[in-house]
Amino acid sequence: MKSMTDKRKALSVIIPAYNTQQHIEKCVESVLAQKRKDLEIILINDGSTDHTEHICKNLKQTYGEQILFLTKQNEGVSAARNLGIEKANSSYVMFLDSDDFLEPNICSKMLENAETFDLVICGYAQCEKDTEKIMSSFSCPSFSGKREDFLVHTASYLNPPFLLGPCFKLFNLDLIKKNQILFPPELSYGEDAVFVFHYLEICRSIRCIPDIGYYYRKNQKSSLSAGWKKEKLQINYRIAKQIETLLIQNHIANYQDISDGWFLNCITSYMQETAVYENSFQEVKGVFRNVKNIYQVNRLLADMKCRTKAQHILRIAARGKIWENILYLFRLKSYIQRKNL
Amino acid sequence: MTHEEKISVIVPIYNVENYLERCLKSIQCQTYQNLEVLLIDDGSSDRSAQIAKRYCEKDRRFFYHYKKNGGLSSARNLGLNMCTGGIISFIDSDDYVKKDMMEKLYKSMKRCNSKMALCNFQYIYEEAAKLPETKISVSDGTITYQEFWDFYYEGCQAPCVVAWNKLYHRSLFEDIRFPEGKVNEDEFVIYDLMKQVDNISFVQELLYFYVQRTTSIMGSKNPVKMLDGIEALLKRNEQFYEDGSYHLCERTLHKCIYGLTDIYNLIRQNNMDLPERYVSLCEMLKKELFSHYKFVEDTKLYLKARIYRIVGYQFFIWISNWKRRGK
Repeated sequence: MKSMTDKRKALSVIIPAYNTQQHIEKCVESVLAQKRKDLEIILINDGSTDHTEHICKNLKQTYGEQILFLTKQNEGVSAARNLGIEKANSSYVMFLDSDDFLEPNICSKMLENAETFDLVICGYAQCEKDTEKIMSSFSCPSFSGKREDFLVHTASYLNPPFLLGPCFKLFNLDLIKKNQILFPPELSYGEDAVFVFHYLEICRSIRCIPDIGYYYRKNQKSSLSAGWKKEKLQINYRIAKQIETLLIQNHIANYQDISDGWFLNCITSYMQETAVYENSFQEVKGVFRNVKNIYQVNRLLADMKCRTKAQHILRIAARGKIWENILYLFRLKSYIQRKNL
Repeated sequence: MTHEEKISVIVPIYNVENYLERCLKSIQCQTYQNLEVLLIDDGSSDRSAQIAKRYCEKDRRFFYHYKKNGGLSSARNLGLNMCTGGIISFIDSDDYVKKDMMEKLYKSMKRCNSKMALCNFQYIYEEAAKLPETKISVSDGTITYQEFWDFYYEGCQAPCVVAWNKLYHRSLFEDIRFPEGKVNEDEFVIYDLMKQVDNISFVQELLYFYVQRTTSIMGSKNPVKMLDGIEALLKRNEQFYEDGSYHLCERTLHKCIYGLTDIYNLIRQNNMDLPERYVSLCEMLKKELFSHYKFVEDTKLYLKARIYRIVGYQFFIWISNWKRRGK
């Protein structure tokens, strides 16, 4: 068998793992099943407390050379990914979350384009946690060109998670190392956006392929505390403003609808989660009032040129006195959703 | 380097190309390095943007955002909505600071275990008239809630109320934002901020340099805009009344009277017509002086209130003015 250790591999797939014993095996095997074989898997156990480490060690024993297995103290996904970047010995790098998995042809399709483009993006799908049934998918029609043109091309249906998620993208490792693009370890949320924004500033050319290559397992529960959810909303606001700036710089006319529209979705999710998971009605109403004042929801909705149906309803509620009482609607919606499952 | 200990420095920028470099340099070389610096450009049309962006390229703690012009409050509010640090600080873009300001204020906050820290500041004059310079002259340590208001009403209004000589724990601004479209925005929020703390830690040193220039918001005296300050005082009077601090109500109303007098003089000096807002604020003050209480303690205020009722505001102001000219 040819020794792979002297030659630099084409692609490193960095997989940070924390307590994902149920799905980690499928995740790693989906990379091993790729048609392209000149890959390196960097598997990082971020101080798991379940059987994840055991499973990883077994995988390392079976597949040896293709897997670089590292164990570290739990410091969060940013530190783990940064370690992966440090150890990677390849031309290109991809990030894979340890409960997700890849489509078998995607690495070769993306690597075909990697030499000519600084960033290659594929489509992704969300599937159910246990049955792996596909619930929704998102991809961009085929595109190749400059970064500025990419934003214009995708502006009409731009989806911030698509723009800012690090996982279904192929990055040039030399660019990352030269510009010291890293995940900020002190942020518990939004570290992905910082990384991708930084990379977007540097990269010049982008290739988008319409194929679905990445499968996200949807996590139903929300285990976030009230304070954490609020912090997440704050970080989302900042991300929305950064998106707005990026779009303005690239002369996208409806930038406000895109960034504000996305942020309104974040507000609605935040309100939904608060309504369902906090018990005291008074507290929930207080939170809703606070959000409306701090983020000036009235003005956000008034400035938007096109509104979805949900946003129309929000606008009516925000103008009148019924804003706080939307919480009953959210509870009802959650009840209906639970009954249908 | 956690983000509870990170200080988010919010710097609203508006056409300050001649001052910005000095300001940003003084922030960049702070000895306390766990900073996040939010440069909020409120629609500048000069070279401020280029200067700001240059800092962002060199130092990744600096973060630039451009917004349409909306005024100082709107820029600060945007910064508050975007910041992620556990501690908040504001710096005005034409001022500059000592290189250990953040460190000293932070250490003082930790030592006194308080949620706010305050320092004195140095006035720097550039072609502007000299102002009365006030500073708090106790030694370093803690100032209680009561002591704070004593300082405010007994001659140290500026160091107490301004937003930028302080460090704030993030939780203090959870429900508070600056009122947009008004000057003296710091007067509007100081009560709500102070209500959440029992004490403030105090550093006597002059750590901040407050640059006086004629083209700044406070440098150009516009009597109509100064009415915002009176509005803030009246609102605070209501708040003091609700929490039972009647003696503070009295002092606030006294300040209203003096404030309205000064504004009246300015209006007359500039040969302006008496704006309607002035009249309505005077009416509000009248209502306050008579509706809630009887001023058993403050006889001066009581006398003034009686005269006011009889003579109406114009004569009252003349009398007040005549008294002050005589001093």
